[in-house]
Amino acid sequence: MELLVIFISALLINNFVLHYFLGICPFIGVSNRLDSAISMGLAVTFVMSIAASASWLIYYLLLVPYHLEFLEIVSFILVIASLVQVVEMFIKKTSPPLYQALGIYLPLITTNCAILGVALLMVLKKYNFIESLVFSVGAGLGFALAIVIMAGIREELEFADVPETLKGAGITLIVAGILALAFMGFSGLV
Amino acid sequence: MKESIRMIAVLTFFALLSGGILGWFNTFTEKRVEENRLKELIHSLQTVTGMDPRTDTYEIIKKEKDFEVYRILSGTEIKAYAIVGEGNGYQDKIRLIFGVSPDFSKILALKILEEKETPGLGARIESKEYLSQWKGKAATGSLKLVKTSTQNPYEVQAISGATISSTAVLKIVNKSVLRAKKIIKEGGK
Amino acid sequence: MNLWKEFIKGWWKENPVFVMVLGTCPTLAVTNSVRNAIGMIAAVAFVLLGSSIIVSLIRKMVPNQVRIATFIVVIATFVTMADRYLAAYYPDLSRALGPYVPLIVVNCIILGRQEAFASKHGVLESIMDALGMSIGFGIALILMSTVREILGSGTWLGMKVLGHWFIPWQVMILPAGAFFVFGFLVWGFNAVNKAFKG
Repeated sequence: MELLVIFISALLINNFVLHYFLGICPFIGVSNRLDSAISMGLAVTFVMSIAASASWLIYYLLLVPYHLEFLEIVSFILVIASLVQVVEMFIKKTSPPLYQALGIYLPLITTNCAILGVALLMVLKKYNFIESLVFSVGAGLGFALAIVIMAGIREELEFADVPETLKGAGITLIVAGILALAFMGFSGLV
Repeated sequence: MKESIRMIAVLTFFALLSGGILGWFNTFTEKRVEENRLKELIHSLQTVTGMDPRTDTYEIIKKEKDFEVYRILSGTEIKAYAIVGEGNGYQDKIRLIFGVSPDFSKILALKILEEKETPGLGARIESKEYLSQWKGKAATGSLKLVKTSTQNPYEVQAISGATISSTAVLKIVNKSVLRAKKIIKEGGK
Repeated sequence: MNLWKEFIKGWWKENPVFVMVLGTCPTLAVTNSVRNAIGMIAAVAFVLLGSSIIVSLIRKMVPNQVRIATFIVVIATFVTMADRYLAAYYPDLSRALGPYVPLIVVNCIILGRQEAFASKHGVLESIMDALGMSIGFGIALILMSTVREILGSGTWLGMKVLGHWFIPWQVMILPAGAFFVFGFLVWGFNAVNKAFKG
């Protein structure tokens, strides 16, 4: 029950993009086409769940027992950066089609604040291992959901008569605002 | 080969340097952070139980992630209990603390520790008007929510437009009262 | 003269937030009040200045392949210092900013400036660049938070500026308001820049 609450909360109520503002850079950058948005969303979900598990293990098995909590930020960012490299190499070797679909997005993910955000928030919320895993999958799918909806809207927007200076980041942000309003309807779901 | 050794050496050097500097820096801040935490706890206990930090002491009966119970002592006499509880609100977790009289007959005061409810609506659970009504309510674990102004000790008035947030606070209080009662009964005075 | 140019370019022409659309996450997240924005500006300025100095000092001894990793370690060190300092001396602010202080590590402005500027220039120019970019970031955050706090709460830095007749637009404090204000400010910056060019 508690796990379901965490999942729904990360997916819809406290959506990573529309509520925590995490992962805005790829949200604005990669959301102009539907197929690339889907790939990006899946890549983020995938890396996010692995990164959250790895960071959880490092934090609670290494940093906490030795009272090194102050190394949280340094170790998390290094774990994420090296993890992305390993995942990239692994996918390239084992599954070329998957690599072709996700490959170019993986390096971008290192600097995606949503990944580090998931690791920091799970420590802040004092989640245990299973809860962290559920939280990260929910957050990743929430990111995917937001970016896919956005891409769908932006494909339509190309035919709209948007003022020249509002095109690109400007209109994307305003549409994101409307989406955030819509997502407020999910509050109180749990 | 030589190049890769140099790479590893440089990276290791900076990682160690960073760890060293942070460890040294942490010795200054760690104590302050702990002091802040204690100061905040004592301030909360003061607000909800009227504890006087100069003469009264407190002891921890239970400390879990989402539930804490403190006993406030004036000398050897029990002055009050303070209970910290947590639960889901409208947007995110709500965490609160409230004081209970030593015989568990009534609630002394309530304070919200953490909430991320909607500003102007649910966030009014932090307002004085809402919180002040909690004083003197029955600590039976069976409080009810009503929509109108009430003097009945078994009823609490909801904030109009924020029924879910009001219900959440009520549920957390009811649940925590029962849990604390059980622990104190088992643990004995 | 050259130093002056490095200093002022970040204010408007290359404003990191509105023109380059970098560092969006703190711009949206902590601008619900001017106080939070000032805390964030101070933390970012400290990290940017500190890491720019160190990176430009060590730029010749770091092998190219581990360049980014080294920069990240340097940045993360300064971020941790800022985070711990806030937690120790400004606990309220630290709680209000929450995870957004540690998240400065992945703020594109910081790593971007190291990669694009500090790793290629001397200490003095890097300091100027860092200060200029911090001011640009500061201008953006103050602008955002001023609009949001005045419209959302009727106050500025906690002081009442609009009378009792004003009913706060609560949506401005909510995430949706952040997106709207940011979107309109980006529009305004682009429009002004275009008008001056044309």
